[in-house]
Formats: sequence, C-alpha cells, structure tokens
Amino acid sequence: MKNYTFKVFPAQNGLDNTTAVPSPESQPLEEVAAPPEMTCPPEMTCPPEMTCPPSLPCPSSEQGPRPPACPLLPCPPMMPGAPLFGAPGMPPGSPFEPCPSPFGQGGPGLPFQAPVPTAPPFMCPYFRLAHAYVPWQFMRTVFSPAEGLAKGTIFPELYMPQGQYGPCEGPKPCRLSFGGGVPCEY
Amino acid sequence: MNTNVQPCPSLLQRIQQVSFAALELNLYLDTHPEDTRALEQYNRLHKELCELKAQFEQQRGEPLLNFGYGANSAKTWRWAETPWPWDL
Repeated sequence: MKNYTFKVFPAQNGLDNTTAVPSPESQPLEEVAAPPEMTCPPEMTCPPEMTCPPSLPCPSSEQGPRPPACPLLPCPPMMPGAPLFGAPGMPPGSPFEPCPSPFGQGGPGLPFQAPVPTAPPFMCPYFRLAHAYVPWQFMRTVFSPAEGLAKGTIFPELYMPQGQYGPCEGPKPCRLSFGGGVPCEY
Repeated sequence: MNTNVQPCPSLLQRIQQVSFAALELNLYLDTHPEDTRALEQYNRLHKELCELKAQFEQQRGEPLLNFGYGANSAKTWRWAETPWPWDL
C-alpha cells in the first residue's frame, strides 16, 4: 500500500480541483505513519473481488473507477414465501416490481456509473444504506374487530407483542442474548 | 364531564372496534387497491358502523361527536360530554 494521505482543501485560484494542493500544515510524507493493511475481523469473511458476468461488459478505465466495495450483503431473515420485490399479483407499474440494480445507469442529471452485476429478482437484492425496504403484505386471515382492537392490528402477520419482536425487546433484556448491558428491573 | 350521560359501553365498544378494523382495512387498501376481499370486508364494516352509529344515536338522543361522526348541535364544542375512552 502506498503511503498517501488525503485532505480536502478549497481550490486555489488558477487551479482546478483535480490538482493536488499541499496542505499548509501537511507533514512530509515520510513522517506520516502508514495505516495498517485492512483486514477483515476473524468472524467475517472478506467479500470476494467483484467479477463481471459474461453478459455484461467490464467497465473500461474511461468510465471511471469501479465501486470500491462489493455491495452485496447477505439476505436478511425473511418469512418463507414473502419475497421482497416482484411478487406475483402486484399491481403493474408499482414501486414493488422487480428491483433494478441501484448501481446501474444514473437517472437524469446523475453521473453514469459503471454497471455491476444485478441480483435476480426474488432472491437477494442489493441493499443500499439509508434505504428502507418493506416486504409486500398479503392479506390472509384477519382478526375480528374486537380482537384487532385489543391487539392493535387486525392483521396477524403484523401482530408483534412485546417480547416476541426481537431479542432486545420486551421482558427479555439484551444482556441475556448478547451479554453485558445494564440490568433492568421488570 | 356530564355524569348524566349514560353511554352504552357495549355499543360504544363495538363502534370503536369496528372503526379500528375499518381504519386498518383503509390503510391496507391504500396500498392494495385491487384486493377485492379487503374491499368486501371494508364495505361490510362500513355498513355495520353506520348501523351501530344510528343505533347509538337513537338510544342516546344525540349524535356521536368526535372525528366527524356527528354534528355539534350546541353552541359550544361538547367533546367533554361524550364518553372518554376509559368510559367505554
């Protein structure tokens, strides 16, 4: 790994932003400690180097650098038979149609980004930070109005009473699942 | 609160239950407008709610006030004279 550090400074007159500008308080490169090589923690496996599928051309160097990291994440736990996108019976043209690759061609006014492999629908779509994903709801049986009011929903699939939503919720404190934490009195 | 008002708890409770179920189906239908089964259930609940409200107003002699259920016939807003949630 080369021994560079970067800092953002406003462009000086007569220089464009592609020209490196020395920091006024910058230290000589020799005195800057080299950051350690990045390694994955032992419990995680490094994502494999992205490769281009046979059907897509690899981006050339003129199109800009490739995304820095593989965005493919493991699928979150899901209810069986509840796909995230593109389920049969969805209204055509709805936002829940099969998910296009979020890293494909940019929209109007957006810079072109190099194509990357897209996940097939119904399987493991790409997830982007700060994007919410809501599984499509299918109405099956419903509670009676009396039971629905008592439970806070008429949809059994949305009924998540305290203590059943997650390991850190309800009467079961986090420390029982993950250790540590501040004990609570219930 | 006017203690002379004697609401019928079971009827009001039923109104609250049916209103909630209708609201739930309302929200579901917002995103599933072509779900005919949900539409049928919503329309059935709407019909029951109308009947319950008419029955309640007939028993009580004045309309349900809150949330547009009924008109405020007096010169002042009479919400405090209607049953509280914990009175149901």
